[in-house]
Amino acid sequence: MIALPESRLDELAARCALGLMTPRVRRRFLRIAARDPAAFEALARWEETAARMAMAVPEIAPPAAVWRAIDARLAPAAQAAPVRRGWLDWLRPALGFALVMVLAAGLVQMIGPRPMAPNLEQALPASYVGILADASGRARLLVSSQRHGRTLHLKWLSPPEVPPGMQVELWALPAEGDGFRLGILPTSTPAEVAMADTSEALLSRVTRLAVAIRPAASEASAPPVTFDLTGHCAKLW
Amino acid sequence: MTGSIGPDSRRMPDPTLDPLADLLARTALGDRAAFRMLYDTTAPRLFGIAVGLLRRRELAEEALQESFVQIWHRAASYRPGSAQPISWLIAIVRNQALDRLRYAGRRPEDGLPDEDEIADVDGESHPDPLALLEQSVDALQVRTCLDDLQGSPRQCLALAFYRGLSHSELANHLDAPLGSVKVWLRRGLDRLRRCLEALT
Repeated sequence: MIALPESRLDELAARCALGLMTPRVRRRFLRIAARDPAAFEALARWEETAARMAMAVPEIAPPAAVWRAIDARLAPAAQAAPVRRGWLDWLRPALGFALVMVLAAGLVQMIGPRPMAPNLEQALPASYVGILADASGRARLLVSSQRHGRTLHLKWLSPPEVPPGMQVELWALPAEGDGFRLGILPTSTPAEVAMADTSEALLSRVTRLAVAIRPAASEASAPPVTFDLTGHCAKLW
Repeated sequence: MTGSIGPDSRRMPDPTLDPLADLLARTALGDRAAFRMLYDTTAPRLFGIAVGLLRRRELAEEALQESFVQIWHRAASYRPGSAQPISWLIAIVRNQALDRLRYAGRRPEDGLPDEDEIADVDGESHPDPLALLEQSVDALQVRTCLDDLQGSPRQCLALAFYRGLSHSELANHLDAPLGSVKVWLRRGLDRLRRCLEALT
């Protein structure tokens, strides 16, 4: 909870809703509003005012290509089967994850260490593995790294379409504490990304990995509000 | 179109009576038909707002696309009983457009936004920000109260809201010191707050 006077809270909410904050400050205030009822209420009131002001702007019909692009990005969700209830459904995610992990281990063996690795570290199988899936649960990206390595190995199972001016960011999400950006990902596959430190130092407390497609030059200190892909980060050995 | 401008700007409407609330709730449950209907109902309104801010059609299309992907994933986070659904949607689109404006939409080489550029959108000229603010003050029922706010402070408020101009861009656009722009914006914001408070 924050302890701001009501008038100050109202002013911040007004600045946020009317677009008078920088994106970074706005995101910070939105995070506060998500957990503070007074801030949330002030923001909702000003978003109502902002919407009424925005209503004066004339409507323009968007081209059909916009919906097609949205539909394509969400397409797998449309193919999802209806929800069925039963004890097997409870097991299905776990079985699916286990199967993907087995497949991932095989893939890591294939794309990870080189046959003529110059040192032992490179010859070892990956220690950290993540399989990132989209909203429909379809696996899209395999991430692996060696325990003391500073390189992330990537294999896109289905590379994303990245609009101009946007970039693909990989975020590490610890069980506790703030997430942090691991790096900017290429969409070529397989690919490698250099990390700031070793996997052991960076990932030992990380339980989930996530990918966000955001405007280029987005700040590493400002975590995305939503992610396009998420998945477990598992330590295999 | 739901969410038309109402008489009382500060009274919180009952969003549960809004058909968009139903579409949002069904979207949160993964109902793609409802999501499509939500898009068809609101996209022209939201696209107009994005075009007004970004001034470039292709950027506005990207912003609209990204916004609806967010809406699909975040529909469950909409809280009925807070703002109207259309207000929640407009906030998402405006924030998405403002992000692009800062990061990608207005590179230094682009210079300041050209008022004529907007004429390219559908071959029609887009209303001047001050004219849009004029319409809004009536909708918000603050015309008399806001009459005291004239000149540069009024222009600053209009340009910041409808064009998304930052402080430094406002200073360049109005050929005024940055400090003056900050004072004008604060004056405009304070006046608007007082006017709206007086209504409640």
